[in-house]
Amino acid sequence: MKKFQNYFSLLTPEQRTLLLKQAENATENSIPYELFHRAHKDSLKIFYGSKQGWDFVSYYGPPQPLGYPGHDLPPDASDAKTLTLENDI
Amino acid sequence: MTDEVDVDVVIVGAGAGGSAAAWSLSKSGLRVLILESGPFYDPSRDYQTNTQQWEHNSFPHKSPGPAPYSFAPMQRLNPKWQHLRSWDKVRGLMTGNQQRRFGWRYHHVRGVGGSTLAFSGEAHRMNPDGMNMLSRYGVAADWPVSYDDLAPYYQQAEYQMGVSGPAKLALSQQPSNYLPAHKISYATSKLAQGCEKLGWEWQANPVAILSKSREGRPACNYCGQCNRGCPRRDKGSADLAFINPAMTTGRCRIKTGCQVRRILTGKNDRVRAVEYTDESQQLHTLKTSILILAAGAVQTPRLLLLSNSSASPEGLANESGQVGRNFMETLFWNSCALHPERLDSFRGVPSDGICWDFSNAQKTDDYIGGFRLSSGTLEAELGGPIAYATRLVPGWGAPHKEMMKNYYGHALCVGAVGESLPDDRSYIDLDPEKKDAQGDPVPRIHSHLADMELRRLAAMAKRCRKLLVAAGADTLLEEYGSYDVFSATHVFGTCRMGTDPEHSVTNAFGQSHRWNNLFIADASLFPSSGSGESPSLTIAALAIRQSHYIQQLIKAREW
Repeated sequence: MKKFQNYFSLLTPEQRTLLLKQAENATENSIPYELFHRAHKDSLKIFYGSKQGWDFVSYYGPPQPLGYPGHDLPPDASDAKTLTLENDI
Repeated sequence: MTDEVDVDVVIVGAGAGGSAAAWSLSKSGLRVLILESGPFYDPSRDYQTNTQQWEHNSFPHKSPGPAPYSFAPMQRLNPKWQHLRSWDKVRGLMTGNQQRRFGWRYHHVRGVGGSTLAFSGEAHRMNPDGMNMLSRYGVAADWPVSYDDLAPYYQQAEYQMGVSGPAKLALSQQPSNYLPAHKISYATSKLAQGCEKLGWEWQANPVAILSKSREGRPACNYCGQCNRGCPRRDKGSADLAFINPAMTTGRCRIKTGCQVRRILTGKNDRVRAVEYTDESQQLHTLKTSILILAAGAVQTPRLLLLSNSSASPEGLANESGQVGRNFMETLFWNSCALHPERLDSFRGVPSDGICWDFSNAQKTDDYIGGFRLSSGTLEAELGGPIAYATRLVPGWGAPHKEMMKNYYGHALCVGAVGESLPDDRSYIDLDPEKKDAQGDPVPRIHSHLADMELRRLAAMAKRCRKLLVAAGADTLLEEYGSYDVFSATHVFGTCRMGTDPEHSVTNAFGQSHRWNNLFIADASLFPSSGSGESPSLTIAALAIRQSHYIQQLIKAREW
């Protein structure tokens, strides 16, 4: 941010990308490096652990309570995602 | 305090062996008390795979968590085996610039049911050829019990655990008594097709997972998350398969949160009591006429070594010097690749297909001992999107999102588990520095992979990659194995059974050669590891066989 004399949220997309790339490739264990890699991992976990992230990759979880009774069918089979078990209790 | 409890048998540990022994003994009319250091798990409450957060946590260990242990420094890595380093697309080499093999984890669960609470249900009988490794090839030790001796007890264990599998037993081709095999997942069907191209035989893996509802338990719904605990109770973990029916006899009791610290000996080469601390750290002495240790191949030798006395200065039952020796681990490899077709490989029974073609206890030019191949995508925990995002898809921003869209559901993995042979440099001892909460030394794991192990591992890696190519996968994304990381669930051999008291700890029934009323009922007993067979079923079968032997001794008044 110091480089651009502004808050991160006020930077242009190009400036943000440049800054993030610099942090990504900073010296290992430096503050920018640690900040980037921790934030990166956390953001991936938050997004891909959310309904929005699941929809983005067409994941129809969570695993329970329905499971995947159509597991033996190709994903695009019409009933692969809607099958339920017989005799379920 | 001295406990006044009127029981016939005290069992230490409620995993596969202790639970099966408790079931068999209590069914026969004997009164059993199990001391378990972990808690009970309630499947519907504790296993949370039905929430938005399911992928953030692996198995939900409850307090006090896994038992403490340590690793001794491991061997230096050799550039010759560079192709066996563990890596993924995001992190590169998993152990970075480390020059030594890394002691990552001895995977186990402390609790009623033990590690079966987190197992994927594989229920394998031993390959009879692998039970005579010493007489056939001059390695490991021969089993003092034959496959045929074990067969009736396998059948009992298979029924209790609810094993589903092929109509014929894998090696003998005898008819099985399994429930019908589960359908293999669509992803696994690609591996089956790959095997067919290669001329390898691929078949349904026998698993302790119900394919049909039975006795109030539902059939599996193929969520793929056995390793996080089964909330439906269709997986035959030891708590459901053995403990629940043992409790219904009214002759089995369990005390949880009890850490056994010492075994006390009496006259005439008999043990007389155990000392344990309860949840409030109060020390108890509990007398017993029969003691069964079933704490696993790391904690059982530790307890024996801790129980040294003037009568057994090198540790209890250690007259042979073999307690803690002959440690064998899970020699494993896993290769993961991208399949061009979306497979939704997060679905199905985790280890639903298996190839035994390389598992005969074979001798090749390179190595002795075999291995098996099996479907490995869910065993590798590549189920949810977070795993893909953090392990398989490098980079960030828009390109990362684009790749996620193209990759998700496409992962296809093959796992291999192989023979692990005893080595003088692999053993369990007491850590001279690290102590547990009670102030006792923790067990220390020494593990060394000799060159022959690495040659076998290289063959395993080669076959995994070959199968992925034949299955149509095109880009490797992640590989990991035992060469640079110790990561073992199955551990064996540290109180081996045998016919010769000079070279073994117990006889063929797991009874100490010297201490008549001391028994062992876990994988410590295994003289050899098998060539890829998962051990839970064999542990249970041995324990049931042992309990029949104990009943015979009692009837014959040989106490």
